[in-house]
Amino acid sequence: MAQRLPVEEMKLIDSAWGKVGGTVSAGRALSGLSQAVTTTGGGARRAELSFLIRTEEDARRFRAYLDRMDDGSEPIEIPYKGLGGKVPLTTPISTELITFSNGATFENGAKFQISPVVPATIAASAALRATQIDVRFADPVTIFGGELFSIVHPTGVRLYSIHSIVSQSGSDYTLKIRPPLREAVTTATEIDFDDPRCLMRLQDESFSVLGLTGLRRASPRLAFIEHLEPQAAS
Amino acid sequence: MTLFTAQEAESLAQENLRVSILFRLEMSTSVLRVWTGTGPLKIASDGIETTDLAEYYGAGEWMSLPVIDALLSGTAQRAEFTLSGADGDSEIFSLADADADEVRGARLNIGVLLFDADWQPIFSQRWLWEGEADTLDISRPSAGGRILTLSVGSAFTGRRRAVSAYYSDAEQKARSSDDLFCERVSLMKREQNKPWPRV
Repeated sequence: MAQRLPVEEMKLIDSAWGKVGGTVSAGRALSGLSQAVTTTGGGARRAELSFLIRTEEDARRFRAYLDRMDDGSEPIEIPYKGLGGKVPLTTPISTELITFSNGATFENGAKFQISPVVPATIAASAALRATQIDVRFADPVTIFGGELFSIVHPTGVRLYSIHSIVSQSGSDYTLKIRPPLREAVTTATEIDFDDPRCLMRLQDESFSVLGLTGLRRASPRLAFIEHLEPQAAS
Repeated sequence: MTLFTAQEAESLAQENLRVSILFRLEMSTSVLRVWTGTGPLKIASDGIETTDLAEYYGAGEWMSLPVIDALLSGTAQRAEFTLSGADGDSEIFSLADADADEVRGARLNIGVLLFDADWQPIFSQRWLWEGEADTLDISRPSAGGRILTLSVGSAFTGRRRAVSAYYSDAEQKARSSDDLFCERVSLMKREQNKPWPRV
């Protein structure tokens, strides 16, 4: 099973997520028809992440994970962090800090912070490359489109986004998604809206270096692309 | 029999097309199946793809396809297909590991698949071109990974260029020793006007 890149510990400061792909113009035919052609089949996920290196520990941790990614030959899970990924609950859960049930806190006085969890499952099986899925949420939610979620397929975790809402009945939604499903899914397959992430690998043209300014600080930027090489089911 | 029905042709005449190309190389002991999209793709069997729901590997940006011409009284084409990949791409490397004899003469079929706005196939695949693989070159760019270049000829491509032949008596006698067909060729002059009828 692939490792997860600990972006929080590595001090992620910037991220840019998108898809690799493109549309080319086929020119204008004698008939006057001008066509735009896309051949990507939906495109692959791409991410560029920037980190802040200020301490010895930051540098060692960054270098260790660069080595583990091995110039892109080892896939790694990249979590999405940033705006617009989450699904808001219709009835928001309070984010007030709380203590243990007996009122105690941690030794340093810290309390627990609740992270909203949005349980959801696939409501009806969908085939490989399907772009429309039926989703059942455990709690009422408000979907706008653009929310991100992950599905842990047998060969790795994949990141999808909600393209649009086809229909809704209570907490059951029929959604269009992008990119197309990387593998078929069965009814009751869990969908992770709380921790969207994608199995990716370091892209070839990334510089796997840690360039230190004044030997004391760095803001390295790494590019990742979705890892689609077939893996043994885990 | 036309390649596309009227309805399919109408789909191809849209301003925005979602098209993917299928690449099927049938070697003696294995078949390499690749498409230009992302992720795996399964297609139904037909006269060319004999395995139902055969899975095609998404080469995406790693595949470079040449322009393939329709041969109409022209020079027979030799096309070069390029597959590049990082060191971990086993599907591409399965071709690199194949013996030269296994690749030479392998049948290559190029097909097209058209999708709608939701990336669902509008109609089943159409196979547009068939060629015969010849040589496979492998190079290692300085940036890493490997680049495979597969040279493919069409049915009209010969590996050796035929020697030009002339309609001379000597050459015809070399082909057929008792053939008098070209015996009087030497008496003919180029660009000679022959008035007719005789005046």
